[in-house]
Amino acid sequence: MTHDEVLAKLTDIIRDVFDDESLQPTDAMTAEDVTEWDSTNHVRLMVTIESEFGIRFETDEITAPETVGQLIALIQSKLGA
Amino acid sequence: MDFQNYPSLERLIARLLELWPDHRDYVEKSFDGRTPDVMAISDQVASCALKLGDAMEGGLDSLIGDYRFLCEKIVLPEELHFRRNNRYRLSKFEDAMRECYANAPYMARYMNGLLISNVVWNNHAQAISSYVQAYLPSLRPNADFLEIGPGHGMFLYFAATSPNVGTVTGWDVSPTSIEHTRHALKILGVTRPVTLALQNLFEAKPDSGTRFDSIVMSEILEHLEDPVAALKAAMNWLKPGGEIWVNVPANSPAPDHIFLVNSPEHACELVETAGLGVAASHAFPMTGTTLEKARKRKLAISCVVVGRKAA
Repeated sequence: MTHDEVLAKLTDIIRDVFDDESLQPTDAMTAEDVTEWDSTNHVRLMVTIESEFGIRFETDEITAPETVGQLIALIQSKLGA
Repeated sequence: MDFQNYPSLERLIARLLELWPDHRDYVEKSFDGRTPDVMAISDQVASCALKLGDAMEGGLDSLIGDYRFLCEKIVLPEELHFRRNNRYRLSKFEDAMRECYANAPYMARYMNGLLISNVVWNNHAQAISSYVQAYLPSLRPNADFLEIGPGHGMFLYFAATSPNVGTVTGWDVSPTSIEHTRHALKILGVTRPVTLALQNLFEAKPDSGTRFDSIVMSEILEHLEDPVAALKAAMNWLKPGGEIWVNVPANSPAPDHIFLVNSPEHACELVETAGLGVAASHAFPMTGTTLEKARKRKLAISCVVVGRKAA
């Protein structure tokens, strides 16, 4: 999948996990930009990503990405893109 | 965050954020909206944590380090398993014993971390405040009080300082834990006599001793394979009309949590199945969320249930 394809799918996931259709994720977005993006909801997000993309993160990869851009790169690496 | 009137919170939180500055957002969310009544109890809990911390090797900094260890190394992997599999990782007491209870250094860090969580995690703080401000004052005068598994002695401490409470007793199955509690109560300055006994609830013979007006089982049931059996066993030790104060977390993965309570209603159901009437119940969602969202997203909720034995 291309970067934009991953971002599009990730946008739907982020909006669903955080119950906020107004969220517009960009590469620069971080957890600090979303009020409810705490550690527990981060795990929910990552597990939802695993399920939706059909991938599996290593435990240390769960907390590694600091931006949405880094998350997209990680997802692409898992997809073998 | 304004801790001007809460000196113990001021000291503890200031040091926590010096050592773990990235935790600021979480802490601010946690304290946002706490009423003055809850803040007053949180300050007392913080005072207890500071006294216990100052008395241990490594002091407050070590306690805070163990809290961070709890959040990042203990809870996070369990949360990951829970989200992936919709169940707790362990379901057998023997597995929790092998992985946790038999590992003394790990348990020490875990328990120290939980001590700080009683200050910082809003659901824990609200549950303790409910116990101190609503439950203890509701007890009949000179109530005979028992806590199962007193741990750091926090709930015994508040019971021992409550004017409604007559006798104070704590039971535990571990000699180490009993001595730990005894030591903690001494550090906390409890002067009222507290009876600490090595006693397995399931092996206690109800006709051999005093029954109680109040039994506290705080964060016990989720550690048991059969919580209803434990409640039934505890009920045998209640006087007619006596109450069990239960605090059990829903959807709260931890390495020694083996019984999944999935909602506040499930917590009430356990109490009723044991044969107690639900006299009161409260649900306190984890920091940063509402009860509605916590239910929908299966986030942690501290469920307080007061079960009453028929008169």
